[in-house]
Amino acid sequence: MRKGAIPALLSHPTCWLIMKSGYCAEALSAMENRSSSFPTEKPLLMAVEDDDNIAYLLQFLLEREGYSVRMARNGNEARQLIDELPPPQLVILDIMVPYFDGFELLQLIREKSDWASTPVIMLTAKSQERDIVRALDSGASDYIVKPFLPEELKARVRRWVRVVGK
Amino acid sequence: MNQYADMVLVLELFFLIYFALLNGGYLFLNAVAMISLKRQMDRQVYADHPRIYTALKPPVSLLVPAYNEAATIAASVRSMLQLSYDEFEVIVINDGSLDGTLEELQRQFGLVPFPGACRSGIKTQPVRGMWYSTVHRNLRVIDKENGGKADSLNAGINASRYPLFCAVDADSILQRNSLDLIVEPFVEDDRTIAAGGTIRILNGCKASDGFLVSVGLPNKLLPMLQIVEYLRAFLFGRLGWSPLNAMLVISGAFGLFRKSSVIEVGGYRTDTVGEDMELVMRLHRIHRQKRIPYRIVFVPNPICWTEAPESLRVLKNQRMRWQRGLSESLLMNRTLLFSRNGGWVGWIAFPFTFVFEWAGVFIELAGYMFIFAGFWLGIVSGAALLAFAVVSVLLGVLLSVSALLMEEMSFHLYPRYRQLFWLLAMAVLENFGYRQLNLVWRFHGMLRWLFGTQAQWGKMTRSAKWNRSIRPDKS
Amino acid sequence: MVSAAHFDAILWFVSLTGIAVFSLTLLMVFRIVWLRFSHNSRARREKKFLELWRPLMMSGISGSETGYPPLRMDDAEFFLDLWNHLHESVKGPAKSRLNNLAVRCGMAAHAHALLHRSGLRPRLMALITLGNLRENSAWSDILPLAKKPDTILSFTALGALLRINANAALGELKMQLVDRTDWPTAQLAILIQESGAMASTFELVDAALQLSGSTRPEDIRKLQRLLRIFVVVPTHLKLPAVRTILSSATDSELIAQCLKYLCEPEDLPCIRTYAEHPVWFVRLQAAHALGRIGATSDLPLLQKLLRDPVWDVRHRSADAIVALMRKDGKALAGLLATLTDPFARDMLTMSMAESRVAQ
Repeated sequence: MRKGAIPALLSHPTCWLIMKSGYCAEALSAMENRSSSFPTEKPLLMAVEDDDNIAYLLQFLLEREGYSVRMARNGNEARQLIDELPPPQLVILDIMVPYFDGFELLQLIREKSDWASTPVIMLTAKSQERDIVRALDSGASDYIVKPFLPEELKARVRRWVRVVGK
Repeated sequence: MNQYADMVLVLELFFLIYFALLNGGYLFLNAVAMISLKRQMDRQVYADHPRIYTALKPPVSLLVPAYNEAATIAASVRSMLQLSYDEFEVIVINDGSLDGTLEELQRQFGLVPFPGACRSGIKTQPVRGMWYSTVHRNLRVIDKENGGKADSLNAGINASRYPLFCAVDADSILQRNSLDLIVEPFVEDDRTIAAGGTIRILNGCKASDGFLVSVGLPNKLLPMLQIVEYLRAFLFGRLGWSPLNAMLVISGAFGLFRKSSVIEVGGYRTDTVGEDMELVMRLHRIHRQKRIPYRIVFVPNPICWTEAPESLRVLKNQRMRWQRGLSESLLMNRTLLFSRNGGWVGWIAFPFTFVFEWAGVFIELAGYMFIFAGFWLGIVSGAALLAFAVVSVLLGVLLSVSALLMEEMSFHLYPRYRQLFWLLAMAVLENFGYRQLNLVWRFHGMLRWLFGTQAQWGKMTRSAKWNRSIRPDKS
Repeated sequence: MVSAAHFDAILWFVSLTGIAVFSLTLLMVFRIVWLRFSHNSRARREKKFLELWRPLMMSGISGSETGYPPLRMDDAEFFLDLWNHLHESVKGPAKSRLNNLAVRCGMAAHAHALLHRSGLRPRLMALITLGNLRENSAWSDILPLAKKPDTILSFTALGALLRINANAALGELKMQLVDRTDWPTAQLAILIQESGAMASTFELVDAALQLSGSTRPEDIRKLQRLLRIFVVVPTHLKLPAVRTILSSATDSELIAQCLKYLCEPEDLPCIRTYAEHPVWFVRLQAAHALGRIGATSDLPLLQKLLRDPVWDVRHRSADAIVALMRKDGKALAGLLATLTDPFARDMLTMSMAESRVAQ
């Protein structure tokens, strides 16, 4: 699981671009700054999202924030990650994903002893009161409705990672 | 001798006119379908973009009748619970299964018994119990005495909560967005009482746990022939009639109905093997008679995948049953024919179906016999026989190829050139043997229906697994 | 012989048909192959486009100012697809950042140009894009499209106008909102809700009040449609209008719709009178309303509805009883014990069990 700074940089979507086309030089320097200020291992997050573009966006936003992100694109992949990974700092769950939905995954996480206290943020297009209530009742730490505010998402992630860090 | 020649001439003319009308009819449908497909495709701009799931769309009850489905029921139900739609419930109706279907459901979904007060709107076999899932709040199971598929659906209708219900076969796979898409016509027009989606053949595709993983072609001849057959039936059989509000069948494997309208006409009939077709015809008939404005539509983009028979024997049974269902449905709704407020459906679609799909079995067989007898007796020249055969094959190929073209314009599900080659090959090959075989099977089905005893048939429906009710109309 | 000549004629005709059919089939096959070829090459171009532009757009969303490579006009379609997709996924400042990006890449001008193309598809794409861009300068070009007879075109245009300036759109298109019975009400409500122009929905209320009391069937139909859109109208705006409409309504569907929106105790006397209405769905809505705002004094009335011949009315009444007696489980059990009608008892038992599951 341990990732050095350089390979992480290479796997970063913008960095490929930098290498290829030389755009966004400042993004590169921002990255370097960050990697120097976080010399240790990056905090690990897991996210489950089936929409291509949103998955890409999540990964992009969170990696820029200095997290290492494992994406699952459906319930099966998510289950596998839950089985294999050490508990991450935080999990972001979409509700409507194939195979196993967000509620089932949430239950799975809460039942696994070392994951039980991992904060889980639901990020979903289901905006009805009863869905929100149900998610929070069954152990979600937070609930964000799509379309979402990227800054808000980042702030909430920071907050929950901090809570756990204490 | 002269008199004899006159008779031959009359017969010959008769078959020619039949042939011309049949193919003319299909070409016409084809044109309507092409135009309506083009229009539908044009309007779908950014259809895959994220949607807001809102309470403003009508909630739907998914009815899943299950008879001896223990092996697959959990995966099917799980995949149905994952449909992307805001509010829906899944009601599994266990139709007195003998293989532990109910126990499997209990194990997988943590069912608890529940006091149920079902509607008694439609008479059904006695309900033994009602179960709720503790895992999924929108899942319920009705356990009832065996009574067949139609009876199970009626029990599901009685127990359902929501204004729309969707009849789904337990062994088929719904694409995740299909419910959202098939509800569209109900949202757009409140006169809509029924909508059907596209059925595609699952053989050759990869599926796991009730989800479609990848689309492919089967490597067996029989299912591959059926793929082209289904494309034809759905892309222009249905799409052609639908804009004229004259579609006579919505497949039992995937159709959405307005519950109040179905209860109003009495629900599914249990005394036919073609309950899906019969219901749609009856909806037409009664709404026409009472002059209630209504719409019955086909929506091409919601897709339901289902397994097609791979053996000749099973396929033959299926086709015989379809023919029987067709005969029964036509008979039960015969007053729709040329009825005063009949519209397109009473004046064109119903007679078209009657002549070309029902009586057509006899006419086509007689035509084959006439032409071969004529040739044998020397009345029909070899050249004429050949020319006629070539034209009929060419027309058959044309219709199939146009269905492939529509598929290419819309779904593009078989993207490889090799797949295209095979589908084109099927479009040609089906004219040599497959169509004729179908004709014989359908004839056989007709004979069974005309002369078979009721008791025999009753036993048949109960013991036979309700082998898919997809029914692409012949075309 | 007659038949020989006759066969010759037929043969001639048949061969001609055969040739025509065969050529048509060949044309179709070519068309399929061509479509397939262009589809595949398009997919390749799109893949390349996404590799380059997806990261750029993502950094655009997160606010980093970077340079953008020139956008090839061939790729404009892909750009708009991705861009609109992201627009539907985020909100707030991220949307304006996306808009800056589009303007810098010349896509605003491109959308304007698309609007004047002839096909339906480009125009729909233009309308969606201009709506997301909040492109005020396109207002006068879009407005006439919202008045076209084509449902999808006019409705998409309406959506764009609502995004650009919801208040002005509601004012300007008030008549269309009433008259266009082909516009789907559910989507209309979503659009209005999304636009956030709740205050301007008084226009809808005004329009409804004007139709109120009319007995012409088309007016009643229009009023029913408006009432369906009322779900997104703030209560303080719609409630007085609903009361007025209800007071003069004779159409049972209209009455049922009005009952759905009543939510204050002062409406109770009026609601109670509808509990005995001859049409079942009016009784159903009355029962529902009593469950929402009723008092324990309504229990006898609901118990009567619990014996209603229609299942749905019984169901809703049972739910209403359970809702009213939520806090007093004992009294509820007591009530159940007093019921003699088996249908009523079954229904109440089910509703009680359901409310337990829901908790």
